[in-house]
Amino acid sequence: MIKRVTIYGDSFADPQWDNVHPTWYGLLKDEGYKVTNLGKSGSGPMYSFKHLYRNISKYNNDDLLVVIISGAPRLDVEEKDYRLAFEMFKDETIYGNWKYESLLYALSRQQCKVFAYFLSVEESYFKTSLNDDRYFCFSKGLVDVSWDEYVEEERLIHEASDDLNYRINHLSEVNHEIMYKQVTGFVDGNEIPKFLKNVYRGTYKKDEFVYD
Amino acid sequence: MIKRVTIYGDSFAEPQWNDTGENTHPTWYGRLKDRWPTTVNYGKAGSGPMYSFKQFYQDLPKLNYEDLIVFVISWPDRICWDSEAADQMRAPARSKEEAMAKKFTTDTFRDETVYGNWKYESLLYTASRIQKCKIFIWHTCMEETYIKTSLNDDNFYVHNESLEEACSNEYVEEQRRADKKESEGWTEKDRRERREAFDLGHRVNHLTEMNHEVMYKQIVGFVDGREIPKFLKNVYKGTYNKEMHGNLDLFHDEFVYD
Repeated sequence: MIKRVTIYGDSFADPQWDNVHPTWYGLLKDEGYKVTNLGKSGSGPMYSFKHLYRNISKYNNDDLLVVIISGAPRLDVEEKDYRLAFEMFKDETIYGNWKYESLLYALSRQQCKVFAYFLSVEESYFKTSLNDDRYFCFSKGLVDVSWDEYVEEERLIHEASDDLNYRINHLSEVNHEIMYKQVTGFVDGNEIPKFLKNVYRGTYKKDEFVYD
Repeated sequence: MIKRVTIYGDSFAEPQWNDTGENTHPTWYGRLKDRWPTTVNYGKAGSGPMYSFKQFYQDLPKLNYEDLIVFVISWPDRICWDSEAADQMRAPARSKEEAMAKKFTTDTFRDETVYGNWKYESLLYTASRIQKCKIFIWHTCMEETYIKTSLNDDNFYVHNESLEEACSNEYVEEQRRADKKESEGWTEKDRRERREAFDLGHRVNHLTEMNHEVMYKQIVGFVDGREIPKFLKNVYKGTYNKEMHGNLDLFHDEFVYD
């Protein structure tokens, strides 16, 4: 039975936002899981795995890892070194997420359950094809999920920076609730719901949310 | 049924072992080619997994149930830089720049390098699930593996003896002791490099003919679902306590046949 949840990821998991509404990771905590959230805005998988490599030996059947596999080119290097690092490790970077997700899959075979989200599913090698009761990759990238929240006519006129004051982790409250239900659905063997679309009008109007 | 074999790896797989291009005895990859004439060998002495995976990333999408992949996963700190600039930085004539490049790599990519083989072997494992191909792995050093043998099945196999061990264990014990005594104060890496240098003229791919045969049988054992034999030990007297260069006849008694 799952007792501990460890979260790795980028801004879709970062707990350091001014929380104006409940969050998916907060709801997991409320559920009674011991949640450790290592999400950091702007970080990439190289940053997340720095932590994971060190923690890996501790995980067992009491653990669930929720990993947001961010864009592979987000290298964890100083800005001045970025260009050279990318050039020197081009293939390792481009195909980086194939390896990261594979290590997570191997981990799920041996030690604990893993729920993986990608920022962009195109960066995944095996996508949802190895999903089972120990490993689950969500079929849609979180970037698309975030954009699809906007009602259609608003989508083209927004920037991600709008989110800093309004949507926490680039998602509205209703999809935080969905994300929480996806994770618990996987743990409990229940249905895993889809994210809601067309539910957010943007921030510059008073009635910004659309509830059907 | 397997129709194609592709080999990736370091000096344990290198097909161009000496200048003449002709090996002094049959090799495991030569025996594979006899059975599967379409065998392709990308082994390159001194290379690491980064080099091997450059090719593998390109090949991966094309693999299917007719493919057998044989992988020697070498030391992950054998970096293979992509850019020409980086290649120039490590040119021997510019040792200062080489040191800088190495430092840069170890500073910025330390974890990615140290834990590199965990990811490489995991990708090979998922490849065996998705592409339905068979994958056989030797590690050069067993300490570098996360999976070890725990996920072995009909499509994926990690051999539980490292090639480094197999190479060292071929020596008869007194020779190993002498080697150790003679090189007191050396690191294991120093000894390995010396052994490798001695091997250039004698053991092909650091292994005797007998263990080349064992390697071949390990692979076909995996493919055919038969027993996978272990490497032979204490079968090689070594060559380095005699005069090293020149006449191979000097070493006529180098092998021990039990």
